[in-house]
Amino acid sequence: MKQRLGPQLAAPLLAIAFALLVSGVILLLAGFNPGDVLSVVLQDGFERQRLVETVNRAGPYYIAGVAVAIGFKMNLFNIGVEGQYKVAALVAAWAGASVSLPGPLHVLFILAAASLTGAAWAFIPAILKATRGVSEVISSIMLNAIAFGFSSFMLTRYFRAPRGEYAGTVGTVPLDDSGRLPSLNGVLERIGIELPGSSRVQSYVLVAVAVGIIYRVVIWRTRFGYDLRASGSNDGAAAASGVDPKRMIILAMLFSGAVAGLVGLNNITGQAGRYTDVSVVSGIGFTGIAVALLGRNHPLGIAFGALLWAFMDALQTPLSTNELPKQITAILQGVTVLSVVIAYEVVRRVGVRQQAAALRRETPAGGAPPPGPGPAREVVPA
Amino acid sequence: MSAATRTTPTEAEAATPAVRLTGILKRFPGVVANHDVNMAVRRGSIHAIVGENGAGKSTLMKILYGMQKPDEGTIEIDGETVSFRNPNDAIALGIGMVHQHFMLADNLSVLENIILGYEPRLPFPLRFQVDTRKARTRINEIAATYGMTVDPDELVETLGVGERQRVEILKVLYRGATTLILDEPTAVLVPQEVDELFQSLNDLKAQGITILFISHKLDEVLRLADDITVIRGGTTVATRHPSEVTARQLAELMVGNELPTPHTRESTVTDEVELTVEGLTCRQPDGRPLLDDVSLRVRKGEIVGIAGVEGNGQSELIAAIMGLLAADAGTVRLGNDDITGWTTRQRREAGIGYIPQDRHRHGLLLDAPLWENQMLGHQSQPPNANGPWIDRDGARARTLEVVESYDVRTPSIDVHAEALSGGNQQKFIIGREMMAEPSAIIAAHPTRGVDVGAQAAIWDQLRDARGAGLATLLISADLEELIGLSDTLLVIYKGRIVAELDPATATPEELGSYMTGAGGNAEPAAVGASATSDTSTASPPDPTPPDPSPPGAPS
Amino acid sequence: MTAVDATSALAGTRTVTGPDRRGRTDPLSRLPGPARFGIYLVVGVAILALAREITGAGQLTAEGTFRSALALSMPIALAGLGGLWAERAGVVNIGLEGMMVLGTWFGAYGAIAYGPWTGVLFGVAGGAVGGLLHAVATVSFGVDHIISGVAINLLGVGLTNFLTTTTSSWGNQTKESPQIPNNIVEVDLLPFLNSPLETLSEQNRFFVSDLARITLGLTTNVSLLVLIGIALFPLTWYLLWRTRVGLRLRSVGEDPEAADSLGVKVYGMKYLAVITSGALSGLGGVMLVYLFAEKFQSGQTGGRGYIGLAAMIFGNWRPGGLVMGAGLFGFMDSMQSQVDSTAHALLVVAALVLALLAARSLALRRYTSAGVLAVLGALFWVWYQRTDELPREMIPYFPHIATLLVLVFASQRLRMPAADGKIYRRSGR
Repeated sequence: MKQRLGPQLAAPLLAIAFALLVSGVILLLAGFNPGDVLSVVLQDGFERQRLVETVNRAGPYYIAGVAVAIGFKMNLFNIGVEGQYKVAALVAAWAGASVSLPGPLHVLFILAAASLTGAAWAFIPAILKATRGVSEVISSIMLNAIAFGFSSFMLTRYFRAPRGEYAGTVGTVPLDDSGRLPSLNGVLERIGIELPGSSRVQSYVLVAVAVGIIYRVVIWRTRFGYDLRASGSNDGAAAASGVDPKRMIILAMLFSGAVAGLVGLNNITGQAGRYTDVSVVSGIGFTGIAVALLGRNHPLGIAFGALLWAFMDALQTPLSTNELPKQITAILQGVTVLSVVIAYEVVRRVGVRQQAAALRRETPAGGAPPPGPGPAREVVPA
Repeated sequence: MSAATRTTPTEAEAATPAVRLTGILKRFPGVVANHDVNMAVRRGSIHAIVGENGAGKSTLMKILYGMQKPDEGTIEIDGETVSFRNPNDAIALGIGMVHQHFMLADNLSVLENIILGYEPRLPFPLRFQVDTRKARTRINEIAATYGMTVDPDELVETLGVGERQRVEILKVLYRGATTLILDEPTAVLVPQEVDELFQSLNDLKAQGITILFISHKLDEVLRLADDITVIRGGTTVATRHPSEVTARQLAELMVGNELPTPHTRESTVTDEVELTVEGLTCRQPDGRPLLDDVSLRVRKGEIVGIAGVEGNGQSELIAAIMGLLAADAGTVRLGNDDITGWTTRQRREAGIGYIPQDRHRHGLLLDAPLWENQMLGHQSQPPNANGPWIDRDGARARTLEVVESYDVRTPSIDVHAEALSGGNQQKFIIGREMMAEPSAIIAAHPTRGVDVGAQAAIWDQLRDARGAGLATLLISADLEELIGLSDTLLVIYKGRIVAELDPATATPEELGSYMTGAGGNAEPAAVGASATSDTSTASPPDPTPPDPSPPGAPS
Repeated sequence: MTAVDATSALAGTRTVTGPDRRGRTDPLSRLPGPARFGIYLVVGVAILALAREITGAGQLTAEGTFRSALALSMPIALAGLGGLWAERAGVVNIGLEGMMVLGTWFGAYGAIAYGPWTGVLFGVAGGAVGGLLHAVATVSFGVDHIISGVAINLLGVGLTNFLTTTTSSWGNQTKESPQIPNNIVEVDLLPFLNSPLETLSEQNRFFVSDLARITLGLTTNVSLLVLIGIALFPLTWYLLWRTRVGLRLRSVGEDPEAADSLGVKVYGMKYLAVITSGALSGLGGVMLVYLFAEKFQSGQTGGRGYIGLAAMIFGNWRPGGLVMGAGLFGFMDSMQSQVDSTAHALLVVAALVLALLAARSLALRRYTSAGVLAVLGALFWVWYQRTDELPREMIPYFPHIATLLVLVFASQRLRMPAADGKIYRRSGR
């Protein structure tokens, strides 16, 4: 692993540079000066307020990225994170508002409810794949759409706060304060970081950190994680080593869904305090796919991807105040993903060849024996 | 063709052969697949190429079909020296190949499969449209000429194996092939289908088509071919007329005049039976047996070798013992435990080691570091695991031991498995299995595709483990390996154990005849005339335990 | 000797399967496609008519319902057709959504700048560029098809939003374009039948009047654009199943190795298919712009690219089936804007359909499935009896649920191209 770190880092950096180049060209074509945009990025993008926004946005992206990465680790494509967190956020918001518990317990209860709901929603594609061989991609796409209908159905029929009491948007009853996560501003101020007036560092980012640690530990340090990675790497070899492939599909999807369930809680346990159609942003599931790809499913890599993505998002405000097209960030994001996956693929192909060639030189035992009377064996070139 | 050309095909033959190969040599990294291949094929004849698995038949045919380039030597077609860049060049010269694994798209019709890439078109205004009528007419014509009936509008997925093969042959003929290469065409057929195929091939021959027929089924070859070339160890060793040779003589040519003598050594075989298989039967969904009432016992300190031509149930036997394939009947026992219903993991934890036949598909995580590969198959046990956790230090220490003790040449244990050479990968797998101290091990083709040095090392390791009391089931296509290592030698044929031999006394012809299904025929003199060999194909392999010392065997 | 792939038993990969005929075969399956299609149509109308009689929900077979259903199903059907082209050549195209988005923007742009028909061409070209991108990534670079598709979806949205704000001629809007000059002609397909059909439709005869109303809804005031869209279905069928390019394209999706060994240009076919796929979903986007909002709006595709994919799977990767799938989605979409009683009547429709399917299973002696279907049908009937309305929020998602059920219960009968989604690399890596 170590000897490949170079190209592994080079690939995303090159891809990002390429994406910057493409975006620059597009800006030029649209009649803008890329230099203006760059200077805004460099001057305003790193303002404290922007960085706070970056961190706040990165939390859900990171969690979504981890959920997708768990699937990727065993060649499952959980494109259903979108639906899983939508339903999970609703159920967790409702369940959280239905109980009264002391502080930390209340938050944990909400997190657990979201995880369980996400896992339950992910169980549908998992069981369909394990028993009926239905592609998890197709069923998840259907379930994403169904999740939207289902959550709006459940909200309006069963989980809705009584009319009149909370005027305005349709949503669940707000959570008690015990179910809310505090802002981190106090802590940050105590360690000497001053924040501009309106910024609020949401402590939900800590949940993301916890998810990252759990991901790292479970996937790389446990037998379950080993079995999961082995199945993803070579299902034939994993089966021969004693891994039950069907069981593994279900467990991996449940794990992925449990993480996905947490994606939508940022606002519910934070400022909004309740589920409404706007308090849970949609599209984070797809961002999670991009972020997991950027980070190569590595806990720190995903963090890098999530922060990068969030940083690009956060640039939108300064860009528009400077009368520059803020939507260039979305292009930047899209081109980055596409060029990163292509770059990884190219690097992988080149790397495999080089590494094998280098080792063949080091160990002459693999060289061809001279043709002679010895038993020659037929080789099927793979 | 005519009787005038019926001379022994020699280098100096006057009539131009349809195909002549001279001094062909083909190397792959680490091995020489073919060397000094010389042969000539008469136009309008059926020329069989026989040889054991791994003798180099398929590579040779791939060279002739332009799929591989020879490193040395020349190919002549109708007297002209040619060089093929790809199969299209070969097709252009009238050479067609029917692969053992069919190249047919299931969800297209027979007609579509046949005309693909060579579609007749309608006249001008509809130039884009396929002229299905013309295609159908032409296919029916060819089918009628060569006596091969097919329904052009049937979907290929609904066809049986014999019909698919017919489609493959028609596909080649449709492109105007005059020389057909058939790679083990009977391996997938039931006897009636074999008869139909042979009838078709004879019809093709009568129309002047030249046929190269690759096989290891000697009775079939004797029955069908005009000339038989034997390949052994990558080179052509003899060309014979069927009338001049018996199945036993051919078997001897295939296997070699001398079998390697087993190393003189003390028997370590104990009386304690470790692995028992009884009446094991596995069927395909359609009821045809893959394994048919297989019984065997492996004792501690014993290596039981399974010889047989590939595809006779070896893979299924391994899969059933490992718990990857459910048995329809029969039991598997390890020591005193009936493990028939156990999961693969339970079996591995109980002490069954496994050296898979295809290390890339079933033995390694190619994109994972070596130390993680060391855990594979042992990930639930110390030193690799500690409760639900992975014990990284333990696993790494164990990996270092494996690398050290089994001479795996690698710069570190963090290198990815795909970077190792085949021999080192294999030594690594064997080391990992042995270090786990199994009580029984399934070793499938343990030295396949590895260099000579690694081969010797692996053989030593298997012998050492045997000496330490390990029960080993060795499945191999390499007779030298089987005879050199085994204490008991079983022959598997069509999913059944058809013979139990003592490797010290087994003769090449004996082994060859059991492996090729010629073992049922006790009288060597009876083979030769096509009429009598017909009966031997039709009869099932002898189910009774064969006479351990047939007449003529040196004892 | 039986056919045994030495490794298939271990890896559980595809084995050679012989004829597999369970139960009786459906006699309908022996009819030629168009005849079968006609029977399905007649049965469908009959069921709707019966449901209308039972429930009194006149909107079920109203002219307006079908006019809007036709329009609503067009974008979905075209996206699905795009998916069909790509997947028939073995490339999964989840980027349909993004290509459709490109179609909406470029369609609107072309229409505003150069007139409606140029706009159509712009939209088609915009989608095709998306397809080209997908082909480069998946075919030439071997990127996972789904990953590339997701990236293209992100890119499509990003690019069009950017273009919307930077197109000065569109004013200061950041989310939508000005109105497009929509002068695409609307025609009556059967003008000579209009008056007799109108007379019939005003009467209240069972089936006949329903059929007349539905026919009027589908044939009067049809945009020429819709007509072109409809024509693409038989055209696709002809191109893919009757021409030699079509045969080669399909062979690439079934068995690229075999096709390659026969001299078919595998990469070229895949490029052709995926670019066509993009062009068709671009046209789907154009339809959205022209038939509904008459302007570009950010987010106006609303996941229709994915729904097109679902409709294609529902239709078993065939144009005829896709039309039925897309029609189902469009019909459900149009139900969403109906009064509650009409939507409620859908339960009766579902009960009737299930009853019919149960009867069919019974006739084919598939007793288990007949039982399951009958029970389901009865449940729908009870549901209808016990309630007064249908959860409106869920109506648009019924086709998704139906597609999911098809995947679960008919997965053996679904026949996706054998090499679909697999990355093909010519031998010798």
